[in-house]
Amino acid sequence: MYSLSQYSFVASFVALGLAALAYASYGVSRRRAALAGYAVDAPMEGGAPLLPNATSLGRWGTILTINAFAFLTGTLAFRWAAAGHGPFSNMYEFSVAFVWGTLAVHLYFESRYGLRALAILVLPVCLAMLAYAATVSSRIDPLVPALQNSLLLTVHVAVAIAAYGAFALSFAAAVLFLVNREDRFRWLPRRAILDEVGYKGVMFAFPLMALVVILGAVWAKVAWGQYWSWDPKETASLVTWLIYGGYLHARVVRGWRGQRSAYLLIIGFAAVLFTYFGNYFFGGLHSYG
Amino acid sequence: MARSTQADALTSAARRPRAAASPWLTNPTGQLWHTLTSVRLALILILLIALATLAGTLIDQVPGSVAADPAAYSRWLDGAHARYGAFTTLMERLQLFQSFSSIWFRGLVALLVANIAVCTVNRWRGIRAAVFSPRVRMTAAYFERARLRAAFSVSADAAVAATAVRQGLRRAGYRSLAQDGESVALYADRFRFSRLGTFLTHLSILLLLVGAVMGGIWGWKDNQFIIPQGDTRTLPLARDISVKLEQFQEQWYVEGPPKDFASDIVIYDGGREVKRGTVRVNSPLTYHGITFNQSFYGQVAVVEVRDAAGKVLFNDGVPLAWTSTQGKRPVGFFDLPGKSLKGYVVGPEPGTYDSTVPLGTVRLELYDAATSQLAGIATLPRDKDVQSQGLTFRLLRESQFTGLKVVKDPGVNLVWIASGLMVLGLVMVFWFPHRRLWVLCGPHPGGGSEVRLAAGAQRDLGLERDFEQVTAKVRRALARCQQLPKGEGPHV
Ligand code: HEM
Repeated sequence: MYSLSQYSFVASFVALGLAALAYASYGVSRRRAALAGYAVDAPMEGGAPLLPNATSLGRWGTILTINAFAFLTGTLAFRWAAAGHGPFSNMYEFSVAFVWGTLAVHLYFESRYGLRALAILVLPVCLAMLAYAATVSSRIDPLVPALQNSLLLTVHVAVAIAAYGAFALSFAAAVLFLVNREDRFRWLPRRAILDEVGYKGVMFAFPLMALVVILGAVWAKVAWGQYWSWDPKETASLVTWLIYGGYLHARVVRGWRGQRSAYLLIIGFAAVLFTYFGNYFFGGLHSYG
Repeated sequence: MARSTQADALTSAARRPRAAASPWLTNPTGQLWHTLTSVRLALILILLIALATLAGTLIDQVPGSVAADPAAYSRWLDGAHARYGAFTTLMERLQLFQSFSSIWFRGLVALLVANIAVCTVNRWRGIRAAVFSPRVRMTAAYFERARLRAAFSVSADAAVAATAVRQGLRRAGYRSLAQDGESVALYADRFRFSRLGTFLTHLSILLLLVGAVMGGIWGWKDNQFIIPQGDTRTLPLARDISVKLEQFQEQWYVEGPPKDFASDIVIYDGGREVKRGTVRVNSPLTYHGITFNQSFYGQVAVVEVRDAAGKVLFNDGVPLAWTSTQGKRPVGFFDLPGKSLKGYVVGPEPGTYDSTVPLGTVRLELYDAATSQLAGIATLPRDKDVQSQGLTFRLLRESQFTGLKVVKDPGVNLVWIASGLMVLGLVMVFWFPHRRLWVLCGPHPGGGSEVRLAAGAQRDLGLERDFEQVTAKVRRALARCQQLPKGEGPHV
């Protein structure tokens, strides 16, 4: 089981790398198409006359991403079977799960809103995360006592992964929003759409992130006796949640729409990564990311 | 007074008339209220709290037990000096080492509470109107200008068409309200209770803070409640209650890491046994709102001390619950009644060969209780008398102690209720957003009637999709009604 999981990981890595290439060439070819005067208006590509190779490159990107996602599912499932508990107990497992969540959210948004261009940014983030996973130990170690609560462990981390995936997507949308100033790059989705997608990601993830913090507090109460002790990891996840709370209110204040709220999305994702890699910055009771 | 916050947020300072006197002088309470309704203030407060919280994670914080002890605190500050250098004093003044209990942090949270409370009161009417008494008839201009629009011409008359439209809307999961007239106006929405979600979320934040404050006022905690195996100890903060450790067990994986720590304890209230059970990590024991959690454990040296006449001065387990600064050896201490001496018991450093304190022995260090001068050092092997300072010391046996964390927190249930309400509120707001649209069924100049649908002020991809689906359903319902003889549309 363990070696199946490892093979799956490698396969996923390769597929994801190829997918990133395909999406990158898709971007380039869309750009050429736009320069040549073809209509490449987002969100839906259907109907618009597009350079045929752009569409087919994009489709390849999607197919490869679906493959990478399937292999990653295998990595986690085989590991789950081999370890006998949810594969969320060390940095390796958590990184793989993070990428899994991000790909899941990305594929959902791509199929729902036809926004392939986001992949140009999302996939490199995923690839970096998988590369990181490849550098840390993937051994299955027995669970230390604090992690021996499989229900809380599984739910707490699974919810975190879904939330982080959506925040990664919002981040990609925000970066493209800032890049595509005054909608000058016609090969990118329009700003209004990117703004909306960034918001959609937060809409999906914000309740989940609240749940992550709350489940963390429940777990802290059960394992340590206190639901809140300003443990750095706890605190960092609260900061993350607050930043996205700020983002939501910023959308109500006119002067903060668009540009400034896009910066908040980027800061928010930086906070996600900070929370995630937190135990490299501070001590604390969490035994992993 | 009941100005909409949103409108306020959208009014820039420049558009407000420049009054001669500041409103803070002419109408301070009104201005205070007005300021507290502002979403911009909320945004700034939330971001400031995030920033302050971040500072609290990045800057070393004084542990509570150290802060309570001036000597320990000044030693801690010396340590901080090594890290923060010349800034240390300033940071100390600014309470940056105790961020979360500092005046400025509490001030920010208090402001946020006032802000949320005022916002909630201020917006309540608007929310209630949107949920319970929405506007049904929109002007004709709205149907011309709305961002999402659809129109159908049908041969049936307006009333019949409206009935069909309502059926289509119901199929799409929308409820509708009608207002008859020359033309039939419809208002349709779904998930209208979503609007109450924002209210619930804001309320839950207030409840959460109330719960936390209750815990702070009426709760207490003991992070280091130590019981040697076989002993019974009284809770220092609840003196009716004592706890006996029957047995402590540790288990290790063959690979090395710890697997399980478990303390079998008995709880006595007023001397009567009231509860018995096993405390392990992830599985605390609760009695009367007091939770007992497994926190740490260690070695106990049972030491006997006799004076020259052979009288026993001390015979008890000394928990080696502290760690020496050099060598990381476990350390415990005891007082000798009647002598001005304090005894320190040092165990061998775990995991290595310790030449200073050989395995199977402990080292005894005697200090003058008044001057803290070292008075004597001896190595105690098991079951051998050792003389020092005219006293006889003997290590009887070794066993283990358990370190429990004992917490009483009367606010915790409120915190869980508030958390539940918060998640509920957030799920309502974001996953089931309130969607609404308006319909006008009026007579068509060329006979039959015209049905117009419109929705949406802001960009909302979800609404767009919803609108498409609803329109499709309505179109189908209208097509069905066209096929019926005129005037005999489906009656609902
Ligand atoms: C940590 C504190 C807070 C949290 C977590 C929070 C959470 C939320 C959430 C989740 C929403 C829904 C956003 C949406 O519909 O897009 C919301 C909306 C809102 N909040 Fe807060 N809030 C907080 C503090 C405040 C404060 C202090 C105010 C006072 C001005 C405020 C005013 C509002 C208003 C007016 C809305 C409605 C926005 C709309 O109708 O579109 N919030 N808040």
